[in-house]
Amino acid sequence: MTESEDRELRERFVRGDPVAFESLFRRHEAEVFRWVVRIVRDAGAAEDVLVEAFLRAYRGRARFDPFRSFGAWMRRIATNAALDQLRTARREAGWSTTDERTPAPAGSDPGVAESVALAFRKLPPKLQVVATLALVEEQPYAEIADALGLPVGTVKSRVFRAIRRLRSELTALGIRP
Amino acid sequence: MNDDERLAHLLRAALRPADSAGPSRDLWPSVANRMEARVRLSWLDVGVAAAVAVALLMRPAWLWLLAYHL
Repeated sequence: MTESEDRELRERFVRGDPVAFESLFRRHEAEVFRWVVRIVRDAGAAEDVLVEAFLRAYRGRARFDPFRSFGAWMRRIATNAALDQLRTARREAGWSTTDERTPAPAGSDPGVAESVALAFRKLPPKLQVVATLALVEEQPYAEIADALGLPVGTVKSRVFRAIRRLRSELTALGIRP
Repeated sequence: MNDDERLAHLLRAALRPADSAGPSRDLWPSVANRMEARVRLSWLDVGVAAAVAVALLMRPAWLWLLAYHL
């Protein structure tokens, strides 16, 4: 598909054409899913987030500029939807200290891994997102900033705060990080 | 390995790996169904809108009360 055909597809999407929207969905679904699953770390939750994100995109299509990248716009919407999912999961889980869905990976010390996972889950969702993307997934700060719609400096500051809080939690649990 | 790298290593070991093989099913039908659901008005929505319209025609001063609550 040429650039002009691509742009025409995006323009049709903005006008509310469901066929164009399905084409864009099919084209970007896998990429958005891979991004979301990195944040929420659960394939089932990532599927729900993906559906919600594309719905938000459809509802907000009038704000999309067809001359810009649909993938980048979609990634930002999906990141916000994933953040909302983390907030909901946190509310539902409360301050529970166990999460049966997160077994320690093979090869790691189960006690330490559980404590680290616990300290991680205690982080506010907005710090969890940057900690996951920057420290675990090793994504560039610029890419994280773009996905969150934040300046790079804010992302760096959030990573710093996440590290400080993780250290403090782990020290309280008797682990020297 | 510095302290931050050590912490990142601990996190990678503690968190489940992100399984990014792809969605387990075709998700387009879920999106399409919810798109339709959002534009469909129920009889209750229509009834409430009609009742509000009639009430405002009979007592236009209630518009301020409605505006205050919106």
